Amino acid sequence: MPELIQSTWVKATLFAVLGLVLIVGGLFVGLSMGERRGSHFFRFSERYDRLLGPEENMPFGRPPLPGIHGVSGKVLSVSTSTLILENPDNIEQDIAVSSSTDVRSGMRPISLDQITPGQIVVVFGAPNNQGQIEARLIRLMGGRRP
Amino acid sequence: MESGHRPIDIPPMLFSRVMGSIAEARVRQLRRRLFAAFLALAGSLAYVAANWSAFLNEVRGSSFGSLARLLLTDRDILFANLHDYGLALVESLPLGVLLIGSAILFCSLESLVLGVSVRQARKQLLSVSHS
Repeated sequence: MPELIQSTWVKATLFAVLGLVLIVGGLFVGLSMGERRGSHFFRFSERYDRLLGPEENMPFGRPPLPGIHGVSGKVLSVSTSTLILENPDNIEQDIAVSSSTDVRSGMRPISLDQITPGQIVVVFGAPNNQGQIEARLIRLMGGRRP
Repeated sequence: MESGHRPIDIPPMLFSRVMGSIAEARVRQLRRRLFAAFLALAGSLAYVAANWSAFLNEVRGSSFGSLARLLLTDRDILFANLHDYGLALVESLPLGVLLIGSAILFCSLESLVLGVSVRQARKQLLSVSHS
């Protein structure tokens, strides 16, 4: 058995299978992400001025559009069903809040009206085709930014 | 059956000379690789220094840390939406920092390993030349 594991053919096959799994996995993640980003940003032109971050000359840097599954940032405004955040790149992101959204601070649940502008929150959710993140979790962090 | 060739007298130092030449060639080769690794490391560090603010902004602007910290407190929601959470982590990865960090780490380790190899090869060369 140890001879079999050390043989060149077995090693090559294992590397080939691992490489294939990585390539196919990467392809599926890319497809899934591309489809979601496409449907999320297809009304990009309507929110163009709110979606412009700083330009940086760096290869492999972050893409110019913000994340669509999660964001952390400062609360700009709160209403009954939406939250507008400013992420650290100064990009505004709309968060859709529904009755199924969990809003938490520390170990306890809180209500949305306990969140005020200036507070720092982390939001996790899924994108919709209105350019919003449908929040599944909003966690109030300790900090506050002016 | 006799071949008709006369046996040649082998010079007494031939073996050690050959081994010495091989050891010298190995030291030269290792030094070249060490120089290349140092050059790559210096290039990577210079690139980081030249783009320091961009790297810093990328780290500060990334939500990866905040999203990863949710694992400590909100596992129930994250595990119920594992696919979305995986995508959230992937898209918030600071790729530029990770790539250049990996390059610096690789070049540092390569320099370290090659430095040790050069030292060992030089010892081997000295022992061959003394014998």
